[in-house]
Amino acid sequence: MPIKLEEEKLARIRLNFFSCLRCDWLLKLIELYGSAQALLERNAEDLAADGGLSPETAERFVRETRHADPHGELEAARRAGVRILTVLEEDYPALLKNIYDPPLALYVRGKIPPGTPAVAVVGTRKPTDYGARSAARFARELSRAGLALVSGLARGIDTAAHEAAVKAGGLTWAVLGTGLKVCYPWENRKLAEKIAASGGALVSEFPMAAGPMQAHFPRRNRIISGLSYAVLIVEGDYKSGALITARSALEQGREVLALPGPVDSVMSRGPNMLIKNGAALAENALDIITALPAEALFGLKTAGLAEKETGGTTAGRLKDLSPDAGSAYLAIKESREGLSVDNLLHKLGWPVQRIAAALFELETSELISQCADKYKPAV
Amino acid sequence: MLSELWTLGLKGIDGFKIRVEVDIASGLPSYAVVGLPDAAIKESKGRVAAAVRNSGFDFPVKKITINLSPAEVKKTGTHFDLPIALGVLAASGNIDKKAAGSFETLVFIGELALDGSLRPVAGVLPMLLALKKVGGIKAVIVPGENSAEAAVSGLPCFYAGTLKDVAAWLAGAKELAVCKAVQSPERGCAPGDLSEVKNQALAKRALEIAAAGFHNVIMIGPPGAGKSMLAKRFGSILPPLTADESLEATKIYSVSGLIKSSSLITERPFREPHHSISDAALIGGGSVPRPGEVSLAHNGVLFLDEFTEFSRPAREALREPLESWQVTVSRVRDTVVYPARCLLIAAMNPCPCGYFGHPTRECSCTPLQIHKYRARVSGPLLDRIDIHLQLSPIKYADWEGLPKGESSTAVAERVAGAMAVQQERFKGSRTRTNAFMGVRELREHCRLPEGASNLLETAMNKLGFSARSLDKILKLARTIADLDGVAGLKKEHIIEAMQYRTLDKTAELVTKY
Repeated sequence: MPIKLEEEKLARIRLNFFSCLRCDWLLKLIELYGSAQALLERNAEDLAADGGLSPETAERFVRETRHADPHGELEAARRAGVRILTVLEEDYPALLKNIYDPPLALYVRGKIPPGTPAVAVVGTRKPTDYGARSAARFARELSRAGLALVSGLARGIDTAAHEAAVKAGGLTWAVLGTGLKVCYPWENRKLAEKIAASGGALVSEFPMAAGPMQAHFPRRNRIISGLSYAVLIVEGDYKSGALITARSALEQGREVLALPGPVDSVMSRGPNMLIKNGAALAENALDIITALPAEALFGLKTAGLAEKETGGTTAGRLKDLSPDAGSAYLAIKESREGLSVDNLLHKLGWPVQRIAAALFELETSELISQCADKYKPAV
Repeated sequence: MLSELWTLGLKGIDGFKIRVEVDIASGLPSYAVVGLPDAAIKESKGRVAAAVRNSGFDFPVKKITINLSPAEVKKTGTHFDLPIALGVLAASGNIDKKAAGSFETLVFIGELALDGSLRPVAGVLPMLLALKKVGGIKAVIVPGENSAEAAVSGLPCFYAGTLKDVAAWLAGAKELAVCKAVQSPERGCAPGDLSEVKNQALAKRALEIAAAGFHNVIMIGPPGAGKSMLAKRFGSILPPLTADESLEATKIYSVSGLIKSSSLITERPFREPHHSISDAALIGGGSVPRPGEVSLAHNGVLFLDEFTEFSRPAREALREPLESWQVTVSRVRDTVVYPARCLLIAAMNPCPCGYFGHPTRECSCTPLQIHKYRARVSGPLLDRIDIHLQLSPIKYADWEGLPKGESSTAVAERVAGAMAVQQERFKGSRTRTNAFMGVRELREHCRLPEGASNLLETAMNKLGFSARSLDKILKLARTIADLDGVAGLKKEHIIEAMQYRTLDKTAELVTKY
């Protein structure tokens, strides 16, 4: 029986509303009955008999899918500037299409240009300075190389990576655990706008208005790894979302890399464990690029990629500083947890006004930033 | 028979003359007070009758009518007891006519106990100050315990112990003692010295600026950062009250019944109400209006510890006094204005758990929780606070071997110097210090130095200051320059001032990483 593309797409969007069954099961049912349309025509008894569903689930399935409104959903998406893609369409990201359980419907705001290789950078929501700084550095390096950066728009590492990529003028794709109409976490809504405006994309498999359910986030993680050739775990404890992403990456046959961290840091336990178990150790973006499959390497720039500790853009700006600002910067850089004005007073022995002037100079040249009462080197 | 005599009433913190008329007529025995008395005045029957009887006089069993004129103004307080009792005595012939003839130039104030002794009342000083303007008064009689306060008024004041004494004095049989002023004791409980606070140099500097320009302060820091310790020592760097300020403060305390033994309040008030306080108690109000904590802190310091724990109405009610430096309490019958030029020091934790930014303890709050917590200090409220201070506890390693800081006396000297400069600057204007400058004064006194306009532009673009916060920065810079003894603003003053506006620039400060 020939499948009408438009009808089948609507059917898949309709199916996607049913959240009680995992995506892979729905895909099996589609396979069983030949198409999503055929699946939707079945009644509860059939589904229970040959679909392997319990009678309650089957009934619920029929009821809920009948209730869904794919036309309305398409319209709502169109109004929000969102396209809904199914595997039947060419625009559906090729890498994602090939995973075990590709999303039935993929909501995309922005563009996912075909053939753009992507790398995921993920990590804890409560990073250390080291983690946030490194995530941002990797994001910059990857952007410069011409790779798209995939992450989850969560707090912490994800935010740091997305922001650095946007700032460096790179492409970045944020995979959300909510519908695209909802922004979670709420404080990242501006960042989401920036990502969409910078030529990147916001991606989700959940219906437009879906809220941040706990079950959504592990599912979201498989899309993050699914869109990417490699996944870098920056920081995370043993049981963290970052490690779930690492596992799904392995299941999908993606490269897994980890950023090594201090052994006494809780947030580096996850990546250190991964390295122990055979994940590649990533010091800079070159390590990631070396791990990519050949097909992803085409057109990448690899020269002068890795930022040195004091090198790159920072060094240039340091030269223009006044001597006062220079020594204040060195003092701040030296300390692990940042310095307050009081610490600086104590350390340098200058009056408040002199310190204030140095800090003003450093802050306006974006070399340091303030957190609570402490000044830290800018991420 | 009719008798008439004078007493005083209070409206807000200003007094006015009240005429007490007592009429005794034959008829069914009764006791009626007319002229909008409050419950305490209506109840005076019990006290007056007992006091008259227990002073050895007969209380007339007749129809007694008492009128308090002007009759359309609400009257409150118990100080009407003495004039009413004397009126009853005069109208019933217990005080002879000649003595009663002198009532025209006398004023009586006092509450009666059942045994006829006089008890202290609230608001004596503000009432007497109003009388001073009227003139023509030969003597004021007050209860013994109000004598020190009454003496400040400069009127011929006498105090008496009992109703009997007053009656005897009227009859010429006894002399009453003249009220004498009592010096307030030297600093009762020393508020501590700034040198006891180790480190926290930026905070101490900020408090010095706050004291010099009378700028409001908000302190944000984890427990143990020294917020309360600093705030409690703030009084020690403020100059003593001037004569006028002292009188203003005393009036407010008097109305609230808080004057104890001494005559005048000479120390800067330091009020620290608990965070369970109601909005009415904080800014003033009640069905019978009373000054609130903001007025009690007039010309002094209002310290609100755990600022975010105050009820929302209480916090938001602060907007009016912080903006207009006075509180208007409106009731159906009248409107009362209390002065409230206080310096607010608010202290709060940086987040719900308290440990955001703590050097050793981990904060367990999400950025959203922190954001919501901080939003309790609303924008309009924050707009009225000039100095933002972020504090964190110091580590033992830093704390050990720190030199003792500067003493309060040294800081107070600089503060006094800067205050003198401001006094000169704002001569003849309502403005008293830099914090109170209006827009026009700001433009006049805070001219930018050469080349500083691009400084402000950088600050706005790179640090995210708004135009409004730049005005605050200029005000602070003015005070810093005054402390330095410099007439024109300099670049470094402005840059230092930015250190005290951290909440403006750091919209992202909380949420990041």
